[in-house]
Amino acid sequence: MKILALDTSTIFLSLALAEDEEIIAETHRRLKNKDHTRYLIPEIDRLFKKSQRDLEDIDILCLGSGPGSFTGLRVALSTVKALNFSLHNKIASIPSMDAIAYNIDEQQDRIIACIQDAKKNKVYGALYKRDNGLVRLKGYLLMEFDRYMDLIREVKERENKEVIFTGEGCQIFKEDILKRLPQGYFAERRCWYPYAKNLARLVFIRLKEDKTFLSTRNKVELLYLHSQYANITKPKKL
Amino acid sequence: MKTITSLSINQTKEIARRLSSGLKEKDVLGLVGDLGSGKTTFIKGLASGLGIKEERVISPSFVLIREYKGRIPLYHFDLYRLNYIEEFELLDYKRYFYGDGITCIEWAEKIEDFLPDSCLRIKFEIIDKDKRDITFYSKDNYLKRIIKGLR
Repeated sequence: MKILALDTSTIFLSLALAEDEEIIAETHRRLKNKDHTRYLIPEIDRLFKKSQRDLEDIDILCLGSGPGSFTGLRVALSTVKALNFSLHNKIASIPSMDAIAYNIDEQQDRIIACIQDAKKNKVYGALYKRDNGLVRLKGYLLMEFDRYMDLIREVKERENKEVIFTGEGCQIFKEDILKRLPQGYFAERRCWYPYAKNLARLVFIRLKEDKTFLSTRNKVELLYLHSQYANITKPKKL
Repeated sequence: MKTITSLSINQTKEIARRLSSGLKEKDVLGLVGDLGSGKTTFIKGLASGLGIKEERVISPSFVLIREYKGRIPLYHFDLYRLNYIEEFELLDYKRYFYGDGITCIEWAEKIEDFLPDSCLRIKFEIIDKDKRDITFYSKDNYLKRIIKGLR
């Protein structure tokens, strides 16, 4: 079973090639101008050359589905769809936030709180714990920072565990978090971003439980979280 | 809040040019006013202050956004033809508002809820054929100072 995983939801371009639960090649590079479109295809090409594998042998294309940069997400999606069009393989869509949470070591028996800046004092978030893999407790959320902190405190008391924060939001919100939760821990900076290798690992974990989560080209979806103003099924006429 | 009366197209441009010298990246300008009240003229002045040829500035009524390369990038939104809020979200507006340039939005009242709190609001009122009242307002301390110095 071979998986090509890619994530373009953040300022990183992250790629990984996995074979039978082993990561055989990966790229994780920070882009200066969020120009994922420019580097994605050449980097995929390089990944295959480096690992001496063929694109044709890929069984599953996996993409990080967000939440994250709107344009970034679409870069990965359109690339995956185009590859799938010729390869006729399966597609797996895994939230990038799961991959961020998976950066946190299993030994740390803590609640993992992902946080990303959604602007105007709102955040994207999700809460997890590690338990032979990854268990999502809450999410995926788009809410006011203060409400998210209330929710975290609630879950913290229920689970009776310490909380470790990760995600790019750690940078901007660190002080505000410590004001509300003085005993909060923060992950190292390298754990704030989604690694494609984690996406691949999460695919292997999910495959053991349920093979039906794999998707086809026409069904694959991104994780868009809309603000309350736009969160309506019927288009709102301006 | 400050209101400046402009008596001509050139004067509107000059006011905008003066404003441009104080602006920095991530500043968002919300322009409100009827058709022909001077919004695009104002942006032409702003562009020229940033070292962009004003002829390049035309209202992106159909494409919704235009980008101009100046001393600082200038992003020009025209939401006149915007019908649904979903269309606006599809523009990836955060990339512009919180990016590396100055954003100007014509018909900004249509996306009131998405404007950053620090937005500089500019209202255009038609007084008579050439005369326009231009009112500036912002909650942001930095922009407040700039408005104060504007004439």
